Amino acid sequence: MTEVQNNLAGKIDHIPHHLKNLEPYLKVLDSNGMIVDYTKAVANVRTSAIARYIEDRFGDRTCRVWRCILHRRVVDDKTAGTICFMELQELRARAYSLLEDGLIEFQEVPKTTQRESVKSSFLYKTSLAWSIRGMNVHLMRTLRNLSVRLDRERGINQQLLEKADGKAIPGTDKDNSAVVSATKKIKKLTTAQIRILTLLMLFYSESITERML
Amino acid sequence: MSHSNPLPPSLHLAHTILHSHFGPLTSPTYLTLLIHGPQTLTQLHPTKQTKHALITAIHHNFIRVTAPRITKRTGKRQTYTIDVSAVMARYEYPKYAMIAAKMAGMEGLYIVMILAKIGRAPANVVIQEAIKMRNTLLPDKLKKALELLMHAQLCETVDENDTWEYAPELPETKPKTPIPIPTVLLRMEIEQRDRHKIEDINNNTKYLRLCVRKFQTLIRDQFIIDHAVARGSSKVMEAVLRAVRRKSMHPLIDTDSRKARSFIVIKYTETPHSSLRDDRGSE
Repeated sequence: MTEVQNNLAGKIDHIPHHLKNLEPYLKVLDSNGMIVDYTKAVANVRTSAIARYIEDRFGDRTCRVWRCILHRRVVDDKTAGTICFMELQELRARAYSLLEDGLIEFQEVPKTTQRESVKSSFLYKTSLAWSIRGMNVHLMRTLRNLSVRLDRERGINQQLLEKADGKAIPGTDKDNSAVVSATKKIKKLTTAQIRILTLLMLFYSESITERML
Repeated sequence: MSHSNPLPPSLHLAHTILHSHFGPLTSPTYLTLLIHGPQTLTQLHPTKQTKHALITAIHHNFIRVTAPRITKRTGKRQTYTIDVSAVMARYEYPKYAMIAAKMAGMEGLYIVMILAKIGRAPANVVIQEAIKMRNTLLPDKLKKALELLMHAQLCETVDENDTWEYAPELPETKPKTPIPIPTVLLRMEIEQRDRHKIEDINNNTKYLRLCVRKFQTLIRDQFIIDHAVARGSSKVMEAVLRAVRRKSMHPLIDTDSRKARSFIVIKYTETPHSSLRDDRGSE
């Protein structure tokens, strides 16, 4: 506590106020010490990361549906529609896209003996652990596909990449443009790979980070 | 690989990474380990190729070797297991290089690149290889960068054949009273500190390697600062997390409860460390 205050002295005002803001993650001990609750902090980071991912992929309305289901844990489609200000048809379509990625699960509640899907209602349920599991699987598959593609691209464009490494590029302008486009493609794939891995390492439950906890 | 592959996605991904990083000659051994779990050398068919694959894995620190167990049937055997999360961490090496570059400049970047490529090597070999890679680098500056990385605990020294960070040594006879978890963790912490002695850089029998756990901690802390905290309080959180990192590499547990394991405690009294050091000295 005192060490933190000494480090920040003169740089930031109202340190006790900021420490109060950080109360969900910090706990000041009587014995002049401090506890950092990493589990809570990491859970919060994971929730916001999943929300951002859904928002990027399916749009903010789908993200609203996911947030509602996560908050309620188990919710039927009519209630979810009322909370999210959505029509039943739209809600079902959005929930289905979440279901496809394994971020939620649902249960059918039939109203008739014939189990007609139009008349029956659905219960949607999810938890943070379930969503993390879904994200894990999805990201791993994407990452694997990316790395296979990257290897294939490298194999195909091996000569061009060697030329790019050698800097001196003999040949025509057409060759040069091919080298530039191949290098660009590889760079783009590598960047995507690193970005996905950063997300994945956040969700991978047996990651080295988590073993510390 | 076809869609009918029985491997779960994490192992599938690990196999792809290993295949792309270490080539087709070593990948059958790794695939066997991924499919069947812990295996002894006999179960892996001890050909020259298999042994080569295992040595590569040990040098790159993604295999766990258990202490030898004595069984009536098989005699004294060691088992090998692939650590999937360590394999996945291989994709994050560019990030590690950027962290090292921020901390120790261009020299730090090249040191991380060399260690990612070789796995583990003595300091003089790392310096030579870095100069081979880029002629403009100076040995003195590289040494200084190494010291900086060691001080920040991003690099650590191990013996040449050190297999896994915390592979538990099985005692010959079962202890009558179990060792309490806090004591084990404190011992681990002291062992960890022994790995970051700066003077070991001049010792050519000590091998340098990247401390992946520390890099992971740095990345995780950055995530927390960026995404879990309001912008105004992020600097305070950063200072707190820095203080935690400086105080300990491992969680110091103040109670035995299960929930307490998820907390990292900073304590400003050094009594637990000093008492443990005394214990160790008397042993």
